[in-house]
Amino acid sequence: MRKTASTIAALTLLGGLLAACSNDKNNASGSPSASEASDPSSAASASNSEPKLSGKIVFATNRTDKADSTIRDLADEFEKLHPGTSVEIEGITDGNTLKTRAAANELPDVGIPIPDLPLEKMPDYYLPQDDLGFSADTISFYDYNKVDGKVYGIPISAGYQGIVYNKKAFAEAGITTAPKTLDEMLADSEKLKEKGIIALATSYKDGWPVGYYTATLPMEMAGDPDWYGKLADSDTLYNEDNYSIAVLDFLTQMNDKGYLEPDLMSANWENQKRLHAQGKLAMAYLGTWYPSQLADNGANIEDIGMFPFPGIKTISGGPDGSLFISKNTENPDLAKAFVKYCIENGRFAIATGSIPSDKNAQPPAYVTELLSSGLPVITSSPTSSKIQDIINKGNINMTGNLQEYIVSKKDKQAGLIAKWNKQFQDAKK
Amino acid sequence: MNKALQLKKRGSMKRENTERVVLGTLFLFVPLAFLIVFSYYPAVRLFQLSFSDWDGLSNNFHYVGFDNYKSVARDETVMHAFRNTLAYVAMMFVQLAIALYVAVVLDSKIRAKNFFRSVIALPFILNGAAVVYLFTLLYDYQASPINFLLQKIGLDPIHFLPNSYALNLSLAFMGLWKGLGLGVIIFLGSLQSIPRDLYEAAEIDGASYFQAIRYISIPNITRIIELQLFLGITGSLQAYGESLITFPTGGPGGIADTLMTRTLSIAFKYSQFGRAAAMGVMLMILILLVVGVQRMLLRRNEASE
Amino acid sequence: MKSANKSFGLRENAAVKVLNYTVLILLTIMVLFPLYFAFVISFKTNQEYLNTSPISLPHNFLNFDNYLFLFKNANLPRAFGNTMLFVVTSVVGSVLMGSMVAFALARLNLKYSKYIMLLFIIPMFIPGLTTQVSVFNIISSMHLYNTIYAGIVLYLAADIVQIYLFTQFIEKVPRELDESARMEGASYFRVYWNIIVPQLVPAFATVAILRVVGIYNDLLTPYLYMPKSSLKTVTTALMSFATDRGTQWNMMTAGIVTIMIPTILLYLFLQRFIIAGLTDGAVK
Repeated sequence: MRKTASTIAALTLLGGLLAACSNDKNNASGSPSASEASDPSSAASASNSEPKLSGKIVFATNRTDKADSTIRDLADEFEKLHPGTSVEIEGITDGNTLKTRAAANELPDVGIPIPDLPLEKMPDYYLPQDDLGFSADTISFYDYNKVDGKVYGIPISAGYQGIVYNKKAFAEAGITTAPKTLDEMLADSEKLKEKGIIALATSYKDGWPVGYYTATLPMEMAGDPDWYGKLADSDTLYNEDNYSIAVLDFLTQMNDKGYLEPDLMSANWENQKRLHAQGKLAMAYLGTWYPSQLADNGANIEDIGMFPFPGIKTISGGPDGSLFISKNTENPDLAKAFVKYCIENGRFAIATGSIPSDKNAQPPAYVTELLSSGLPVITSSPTSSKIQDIINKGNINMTGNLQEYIVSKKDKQAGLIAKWNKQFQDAKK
Repeated sequence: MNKALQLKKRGSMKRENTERVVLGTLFLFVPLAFLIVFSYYPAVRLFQLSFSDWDGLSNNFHYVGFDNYKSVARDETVMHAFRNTLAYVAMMFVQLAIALYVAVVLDSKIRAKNFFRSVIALPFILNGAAVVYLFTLLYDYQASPINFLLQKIGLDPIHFLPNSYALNLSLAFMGLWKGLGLGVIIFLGSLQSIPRDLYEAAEIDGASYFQAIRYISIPNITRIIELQLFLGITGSLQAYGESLITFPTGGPGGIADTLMTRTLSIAFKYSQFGRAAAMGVMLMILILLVVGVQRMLLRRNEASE
Repeated sequence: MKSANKSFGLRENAAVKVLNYTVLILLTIMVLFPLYFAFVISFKTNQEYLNTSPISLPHNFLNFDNYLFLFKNANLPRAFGNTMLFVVTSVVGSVLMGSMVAFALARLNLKYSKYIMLLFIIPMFIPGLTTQVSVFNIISSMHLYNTIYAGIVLYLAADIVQIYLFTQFIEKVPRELDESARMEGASYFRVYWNIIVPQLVPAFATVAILRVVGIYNDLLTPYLYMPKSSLKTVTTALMSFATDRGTQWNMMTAGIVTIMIPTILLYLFLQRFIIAGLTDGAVK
């Protein structure tokens, strides 16, 4: 899940390194296995008419925190419903290891997808799942993993971005309504500061939590799902038109006024959740997956609410994890039955404290609150290789840039922007 | 000596030679195979990739000559990471100096010698990642028990991870904490192997404590000092765990990047494996250079003494 | 070496003495303080941790809840089994290979033994992390990826460097011993097995301990080459538990303490061996 997993972060880098090796074998071993599983639909229809299932599958989940508890319980119930079957749970702390496993034909039968896998490559590794009986009417973001008319991964939960706030902290500072503009947010932050409450969390040291400010927030402000991809056609990475500088300046202002964590260099995710749950910290710009983690840290879930970031045009939303079935699975029927079981009635989402993708399931109050703003929901387009190549070539680190910018002196900031834009332009050549 | 006996001896010599060679080959074969497969082949491959534009994902790559080396040499962030890494090297020197001092003290008449030795040596067997985790707690501005104590006695809490170069020293200190004991043990072992009569003679000659250390202890353990320096330099130039666990993204503006974390992110994050390989090769050359210079300096010192 | 334990008797003055003790005591505090801290927190309930000072003793030292939770959730029995397997194969393998190489190079008077020794030393200069890509290629082309053999093979390969240590030890075995055995007509293999190996027992102990500590603390190999949860080792099992509980320092410290305890116990009981072994190995 989105937790620091710091050692793992270290290993992530290595995992990626090793993923490199995937290529050699990809083509050699990928194609024959493709023909083996050439007709998955017939297999699946067989499963529908003949529910007798058997065999063993491996289910890989990134929710290692629940892998041995609620997810295990879910699998146990499934096994009870289908005697003779066995579901082995595997906790994946770092999705990048899946790249290496894909290369070695070792993908788990059911699980989260290979990270950064371009849409058009999904059929190389996964089975289509159109025959499970779900549709866009019943599942949120159902079409997200659709290639050539076939769905390769069904969203297991839905996620929306917004400001997660602690109602107790707001009440203590006398804030009754959520801020609608950036100025209101600054004013509310001042009130919180006066009460000794940290207004906005960044988990600055860990880096990734501020990553949402580099792509998601400007996209929400621009109301354009292609915001990120369009950077490739822009002359500058940071400019006034694409809201990137506005975001940087806003955070700088928040920091200068003392509304962020007092010591940014040790502001970390673990601490943030603790303080946020206790109400010693009021707001954090994150996804709907976050409140349940506050509850795990002792917060009363009724005290947690969400509202859109002030001044945005659209709310970013999308699948929060999808389940994929490996092409090489030996038990496609069982795998499909298990996926269906997890998604129906939002079983898996509920077991892990996230928002069910099943539209029949009742979403938690904070989601309703966030969406009640009436802003349209947009889903960011899949990353284009064009912008990714530029980022890679220039070693552009937007999160690192943001970290550097917001603690820099005013007179230095313009120089930083110029430097980064030059870096961007050089990479485009 | 009669002929028959001579012949017999020659025959047995021959047999002995074959026996030696056969047994030697047998004994060396498997370890050498391991060595070639898991050490030399990967190194050669690293060298090969360093001249390529391999992105780590595609099936093929092109050779690009020295482009990777040139771009690494020109890369500001790499220089930055190098400067940061020097903090680890500096801390390593401090560590060795303290270790040598403690070893000398423990080698003299002192109470509770075994207790001090055991305690100070303890951290080296501890799990490295667990140690870094522990320090993230100690360094946390708010949660740190050190700051708690400081405030208790009316002092200001410390920013253990300041937004400046000093941060790298804080990170490098974790290595000192963990590694100090091993240094002490090794120095102590070598000090204790110095014949005691040398000291007795010195005492009769009226040498002071410091003179004895300067003229007997230190010169007798130069080889060990050299070994420790070698291990310390290679280790500290490759430091990465402390930085990566504490600042997974390298910190603002790469403030906590080391040569190794920079290499890893160039490879993984930006898919420039060829460039990362070039950095790996350059790091290897750097280590060899430093070790070479160190040997030369120490040799000269020895000669002059 | 036997006389080594005597300290030399030069008298230093009182000020120096005071300074020496002060430094030793400070270093002792520096080492013990973080450990003490982890230890006390691991016995606190979450509420207790949040509401009491970070250095106070727990209300109840018998509160093993954090540890119980850990053992229930981290699937330790299997992890201990895997770790034991790696330790045993690696220790046996490294002891055999190390002593064989050392014997071949030090006693068989082979033609190129100097150069072969150099071959074993050079890899110490290669930055290990950057070559992992190729190592992975090898493991995966041997079809060892995500099997227990990946760990077995890699831990055996890792031992090569320690051959250096064995050559140091073997030099100390008097040559007269094997020469007289040769005179009596023993084969070289017999010399190795009956003369050298028994003499190397202290070295075996040292290498064994170093291997145990090395494997026990290794995170990379199991994580990179054996991601399957059934192949977890104690360290990876505990570390992933600890990261999952990262929000709760009391759980986290319980994880940290549990990881540390086996090596600390090993250290306490085998300290003499460890220290003697390390110094013997290092001192030429």
